[in-house]
Amino acid sequence: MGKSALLEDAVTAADDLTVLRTRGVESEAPLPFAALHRLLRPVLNRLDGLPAPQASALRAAFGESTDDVGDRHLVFLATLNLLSEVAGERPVVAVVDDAHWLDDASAAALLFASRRLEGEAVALLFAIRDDETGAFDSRDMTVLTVSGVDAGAAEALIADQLGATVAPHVRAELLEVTAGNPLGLLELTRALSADQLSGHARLPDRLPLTEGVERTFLDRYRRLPPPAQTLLLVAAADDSGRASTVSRAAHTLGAGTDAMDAAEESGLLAEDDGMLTLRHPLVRSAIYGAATGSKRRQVHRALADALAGTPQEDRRAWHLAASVDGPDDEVVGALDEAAERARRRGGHEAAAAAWTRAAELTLDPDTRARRLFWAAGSSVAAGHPIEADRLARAALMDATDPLLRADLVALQAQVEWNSGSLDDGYRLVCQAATIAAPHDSARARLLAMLAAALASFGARSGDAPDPTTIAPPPSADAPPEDRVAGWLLDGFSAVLRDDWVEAASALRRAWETPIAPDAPPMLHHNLAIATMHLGDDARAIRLHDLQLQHAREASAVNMVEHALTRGVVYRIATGAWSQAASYAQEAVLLDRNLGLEELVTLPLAELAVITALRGDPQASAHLHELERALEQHPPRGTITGLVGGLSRWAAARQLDITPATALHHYEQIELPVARGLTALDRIETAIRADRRDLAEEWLGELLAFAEGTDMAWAWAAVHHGRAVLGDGEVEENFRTALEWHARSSRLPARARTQLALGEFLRRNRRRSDARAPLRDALETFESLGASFWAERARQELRASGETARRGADLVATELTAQESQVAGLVRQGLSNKDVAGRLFISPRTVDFHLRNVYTKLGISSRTELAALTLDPD
Amino acid sequence: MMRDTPRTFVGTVVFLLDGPVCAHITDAVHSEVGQLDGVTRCDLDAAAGTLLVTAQEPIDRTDVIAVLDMVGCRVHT
Repeated sequence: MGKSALLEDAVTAADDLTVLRTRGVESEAPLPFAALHRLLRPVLNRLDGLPAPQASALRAAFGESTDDVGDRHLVFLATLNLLSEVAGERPVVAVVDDAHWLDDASAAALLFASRRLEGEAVALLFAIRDDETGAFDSRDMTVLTVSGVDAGAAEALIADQLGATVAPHVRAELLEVTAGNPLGLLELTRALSADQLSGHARLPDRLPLTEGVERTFLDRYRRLPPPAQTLLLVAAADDSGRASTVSRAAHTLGAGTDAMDAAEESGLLAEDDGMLTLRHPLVRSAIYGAATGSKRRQVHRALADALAGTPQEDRRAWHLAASVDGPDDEVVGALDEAAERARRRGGHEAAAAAWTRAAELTLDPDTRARRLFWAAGSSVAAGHPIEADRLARAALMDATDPLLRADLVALQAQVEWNSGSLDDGYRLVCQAATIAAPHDSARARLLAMLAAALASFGARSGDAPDPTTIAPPPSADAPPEDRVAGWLLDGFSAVLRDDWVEAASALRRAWETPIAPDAPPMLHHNLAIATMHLGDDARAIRLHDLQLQHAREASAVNMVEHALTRGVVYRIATGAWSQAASYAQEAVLLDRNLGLEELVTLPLAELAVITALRGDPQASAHLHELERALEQHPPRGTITGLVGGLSRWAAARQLDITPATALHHYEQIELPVARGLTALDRIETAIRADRRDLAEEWLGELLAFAEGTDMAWAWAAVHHGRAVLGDGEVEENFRTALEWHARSSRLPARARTQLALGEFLRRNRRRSDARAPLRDALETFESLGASFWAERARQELRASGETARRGADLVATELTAQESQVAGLVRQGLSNKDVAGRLFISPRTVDFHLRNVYTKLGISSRTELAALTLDPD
Repeated sequence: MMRDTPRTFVGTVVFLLDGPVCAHITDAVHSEVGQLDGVTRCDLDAAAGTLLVTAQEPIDRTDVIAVLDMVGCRVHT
């Protein structure tokens, strides 16, 4: 609909800007980052301005190095930052025509950049045909729908371009047939005779536009001599546009230079500077579509041969694949290599496509299924779970090797628990473990361990077997990895039965047995996760910080998010709230910046809990933000139980809430981990709401946990709970609780016991005894920034006769989340470039936020920013 | 690759249906695709929105799609 002409016009008007151009090419779908490479090629000399990991990822993605891209978010980020870097000199217009035909990897990178160019002097223009169902998703962009031209414009256009005059009623008919599409108008007008145009001869029967235009092209094609037709068919099947390749291939099919001349004279093909262009995409589809299957295969074979020995190995592999009429080992080998190259370059969609195609040409069912398994794995990496599931299902039709079947079912399970139903994922892992069990008990045990871990985080299934019954226990002399998997399996299963003696002993054995760093990631991962069940904060923080460090070094975005959000849970317990809030905020920004919105409810719930525990005036705003996110992205998979528990906790800790309502929230917390974190709140609230029965029940639950695990924080909470319930000697219980607190790292709980003890002593007219614990409590609460509890401690201190000093005034700020995150990292001494790398935004966006921070705070330098008290640390 | 690039295959290919299909079309798909040379199995699962085609002998995917077009069953290509 004239979109290309509009882009052309925009480019002409932008002569004082830096213009970058590319276009989607239908046949390039299997070539990862091909279109992006064309767009950025003129500015690749500016790569040095980017953080080094991003620059090398982009080079690898473009095949300019043989490195592994690793996490392809780095390529996306490099695209964003390169555009930003170039725009620092002169504003940039990046023009992408036929965006519906972009290869998937280029489309993903450009969409990523387009959504994050806030504050940059970069304009991205995409032209897209709305009748093409490509992968390009133009949601949340400004869309200009180009409609057809009217009668007056049509007359002018035809006169201007063709010098023809058309009778008004003929023009009206042409307009209707073409819906005003300017190209269609011109092509149809060209195809008609002078008599038809003047209305003296009948028009042909009405045809659909595309078919009509294709037919006019085809008529012209069929009037050419056979060698010229052959050459045009080769050009239509070619996807490189290189005249040399097309000529070489056409030559082997008997079409020489005469053919090229004839094709050019027909106007269907143009050569310019060694590049061939077909007059219009419809020329390509018309000519290609009219050829027989065997003729097409012949042409693809000629193109493959013409590319032999050139660096165009991927194109050659795909031409080979199109040239065979049955399974062929040579072709499969070429496709395997293309898939492996695509995988290294971060072109996961292309890798999936190449392995899928290789599978289709593989005769042996198990070998075929294995290629489909690799394809499915690449689809998972590309973020296409439905596609991955479909490939796994096709593979399961063929696979007979039980271990391969187990791998396939385990992959389906992973897709389910990440993006679908945790329960279905659980059932599938159990199934995978059961399939593997008779053949490889270590593999089966690892999968059963995974199933038990999922169950301990809330997964349920009526028809799944008990994971502990799937594989026999490992022998005493089995490798440490096997034994650790066995203990983790026992530990997770015991958690599910509330058998805390067994849980604690099995998990501790697992933690205390060293395993190789290159043991299955699943094992390392679950060793860290298991710490949540015992509330072993120190070990948990150590393991998750290690995970975070590895993830940051590898720029593995999903793993960074995981390690951040899990690390926050324990810091909420130990009172490292500033760091917890900073981690959670980083995770929120990461989820939003990288399009991982389905994960955002966990860090939002963590922020809501932290602000609620602090008694922060922003607590209710955070809770509302969480509730909105929960509506938009109901938590799925493994985070479901944790998000539910934390959300209830945050809701119950709002300042203006009645004990009965708070209790209602606490009663709905089911996940054992969340019950442990809220144990003290639940018991205190039950007492305030006159539900002594519940308080006793929950104290019993906590006691069983403390007896089984001997965790200091749990014993402290048991004694605090007993004091609150008035069981036995109150003061003695509080003091015993404090003795246990001295051995635990949970500072907020300790200060709350000190406050409760102080209150108790003061009410019993022991004002001077009350002051020491109250002073300790106040000091801790102030250091935590827990303004609600600090105020209570101050009131108690005053009532006990001490003139409590007022708390330090904090600078009130109204920074946005992104601004405060940027400010926080700059205060830590990070450069703009490092902040950009950390938050996955561009250095110029960092600068933009930082300037807003300066304005809002009335400062003008990093030094002043570093000197400000923004948040208690 | 283009929509009509030759694409022979053996084994199982899962096609994703483009929108719901009625019982009439389901029957037509089973009988027409099932008659193609080399096809040994053809399962259309309307609820899941998938069509599984298994071939023991090489068959061209574009031929399968042409048959699907003919009976009015649209699939993602």
